[in-house]
Amino acid sequence: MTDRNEHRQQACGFRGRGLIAHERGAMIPRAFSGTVIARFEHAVTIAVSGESLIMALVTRREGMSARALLLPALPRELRTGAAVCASDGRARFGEQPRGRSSEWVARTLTPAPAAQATAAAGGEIDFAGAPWYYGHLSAAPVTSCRSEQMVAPVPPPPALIAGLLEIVREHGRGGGLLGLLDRRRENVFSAFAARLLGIKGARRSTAEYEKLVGLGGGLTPAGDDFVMGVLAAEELGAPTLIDRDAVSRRLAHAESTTVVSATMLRLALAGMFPAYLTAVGAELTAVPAAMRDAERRGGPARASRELRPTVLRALEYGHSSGTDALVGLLWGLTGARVAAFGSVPV
Amino acid sequence: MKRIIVRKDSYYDSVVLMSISAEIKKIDGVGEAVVAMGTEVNLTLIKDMGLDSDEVRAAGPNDLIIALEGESEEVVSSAETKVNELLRKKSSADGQAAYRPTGVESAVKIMPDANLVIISLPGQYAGREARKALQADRHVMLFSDNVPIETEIELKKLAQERGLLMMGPDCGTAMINGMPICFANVVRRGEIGLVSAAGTGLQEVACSIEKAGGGVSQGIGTGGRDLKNERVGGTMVRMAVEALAQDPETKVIAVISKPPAKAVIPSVMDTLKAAGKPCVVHFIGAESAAGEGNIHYATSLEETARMAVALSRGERYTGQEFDMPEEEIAALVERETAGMAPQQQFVRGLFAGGTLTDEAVFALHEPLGGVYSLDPVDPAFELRDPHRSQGHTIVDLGEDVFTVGRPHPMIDASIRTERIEQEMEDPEVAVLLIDCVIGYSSHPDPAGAMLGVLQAAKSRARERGGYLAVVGSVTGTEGDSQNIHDQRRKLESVGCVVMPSNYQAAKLVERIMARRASQ
Repeated sequence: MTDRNEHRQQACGFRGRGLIAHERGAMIPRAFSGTVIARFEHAVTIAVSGESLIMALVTRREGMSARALLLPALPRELRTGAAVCASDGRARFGEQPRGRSSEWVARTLTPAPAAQATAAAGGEIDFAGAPWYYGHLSAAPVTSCRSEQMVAPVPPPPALIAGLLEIVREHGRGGGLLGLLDRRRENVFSAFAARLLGIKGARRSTAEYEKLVGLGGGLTPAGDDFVMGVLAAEELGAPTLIDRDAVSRRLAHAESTTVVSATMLRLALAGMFPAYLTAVGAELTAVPAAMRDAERRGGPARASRELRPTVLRALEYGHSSGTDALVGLLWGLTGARVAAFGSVPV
Repeated sequence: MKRIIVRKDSYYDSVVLMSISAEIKKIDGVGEAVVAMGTEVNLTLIKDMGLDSDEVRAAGPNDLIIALEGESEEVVSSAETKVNELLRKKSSADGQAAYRPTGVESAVKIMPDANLVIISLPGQYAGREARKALQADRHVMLFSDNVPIETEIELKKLAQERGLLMMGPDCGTAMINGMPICFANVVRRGEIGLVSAAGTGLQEVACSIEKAGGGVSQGIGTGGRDLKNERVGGTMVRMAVEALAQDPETKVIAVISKPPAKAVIPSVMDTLKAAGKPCVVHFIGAESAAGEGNIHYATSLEETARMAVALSRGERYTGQEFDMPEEEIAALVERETAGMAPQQQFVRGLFAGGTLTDEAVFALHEPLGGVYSLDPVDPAFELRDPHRSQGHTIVDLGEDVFTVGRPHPMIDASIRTERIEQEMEDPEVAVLLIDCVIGYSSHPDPAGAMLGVLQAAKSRARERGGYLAVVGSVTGTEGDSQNIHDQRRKLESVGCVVMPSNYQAAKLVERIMARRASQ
């Protein structure tokens, strides 16, 4: 096990031919085995044996999630089809792990003939001592305990929500569900989403949000990003709009969405969100008193200035994923009224 | 003019897909273009646009669909060329390619070093794939149920001839070489080898071993029919015991199963005796028997674990019913029964784990004067309607009758929460007995998912002037992502009495009901 101090000293993130993870998602098990199913510029996704959730290795902090390891780089060997196997917080890839346990009982668990061939070159990732990433949006996540004894989170003040809306409208990327906030940005997906939600210019807060799961382009379809945003709003104290059991049931159907997106939504249902969204959440909740002060001193315009850098970074995530998640967040924070009024009802 | 392009098993990130969409929309004459993964709702949208085709209907969520609408054949052809060019460019840039083997042969090609194949297919197809895996010299874990008995016999014979493990059918849990497979827990490696016909049985024993300070060398699942069906004849149990007998890491062997078919017992017992290592045997629901030679009989899953740990340390096992002192149990019973209304007289056990259900049914059937269930001790107590409890009822909500079209309750908590909602309207219910199984593949927060409904059930009983006792246990360890302590705390936060094991939970219910009878 890597000593935590030693871990901190490995600032560059490399040791020998191995990598040291900067951060470790809370839902990454100590031991797992899997196969790389896709490699992107800043991420590798891994199907984990015996689990429905995939996991990811990412190199950008904003893509960090509870099922990801944040790495300084993605080794070349982590190509599609590569095996990844971890135990005690060390993941090995590109070669078949060997140990005395794999040699037990020649009669029964003899390694397959092919395994006796020379192992391919591989590498190692040490994540045992990496700091944990939980992805919680508030100190008392709604999902982790709905006990009456818990203090309910206080939703962000209206000025802050209005500021968020202004930035999303101005800088949000089209292609997904931005059309739900701004008719000028409507496209085939947002029009279909509006239909599924039963929106005809009037408020509707009892929509079946689970129907949006899987809607839209992208590896995480826009509808999924949107639903995650609404779930995030609930975590921040907004009224409940989503029937979580219905979303779970929908996700149970393999055809409902991509495996990457299903993982993202399952984590969101458990109160765990990607880093780009938790950063926005932190801005919205960290210092409510200061925000109330901002509201007093400058209203939405000032709040918008305070939020701008973080929100712009979130909007840059994916193609339209960041935008769609923030559209969902706004939708949730306003109790679905943002579509009807085109502004934040105060 | 419309055209559909389907790329099977294609993973491209959102930026790539959106940029393709933007590029083709720039082509003069292209009207609508949808570039999306083939999820259910996207397929509906594409059909709505009048772009339906056989290819679209056959697409799945990991297939990329490009639906184009253009003013002429030339326009859509040029758009298709552009799409292919962009995708090709992206593939060669990132080295990304599809990975989704369509069968055992292609999976073996992609991962030639793999020596174990997990198969989870509808029962009618599972046998064929299992046969291919065995013929390719790979061990098999067959998760699927509904595999014909003839197929099981044939597969196990083939496996035996080739010296391979054929775990299952209906095998949900295994721990091979320290690697948890399917539903399993984070348990330290150690000296106890487990052979189990049952999934949650193996989990409960493995977790109890961890709690008792021991560790597991191997956990081999065999499937429920291996010992129960005399035609299968305990083939895999015997092979697994022989393997563990030779395994230098295994000091003690534990076998867990429902009582075997009579014809199978002699050969299994001979194998155990020949193992030359201490063996703990627990046949759930069987009459207790005195040990003989290296064979020791346990009366519960928890006792199996504790006995095995004691034997691995060369210690003598001394059993006790409860971990808590007797006075604490008595106080607990008083507390839980004090507020009950006179009409509250029945136990309702709502379980996610099949073996945990069996253990509770066997533990409570006699003391309570009969427990209705889908697999009762006495056929007279077969539950008439699985969806409606009668008298004392204990049900395994993982039975097919509850899971048609739905995930198993260890994954989808709603099956149980809905049933609790139903039970809470019955004023005769005195005790709810539950399990909470965590670990790999299980619900990320099974206790959290039950909190709301358990609170509601207790409130409903209070409104009627009574008190609903909720008793349960958590099958899991500290290392599981859901964490046993977190799960226990959550259940306790709503007034649930969480016992150290399923067996102790059932025994506490027995005490509660005995106290009720005397009130």
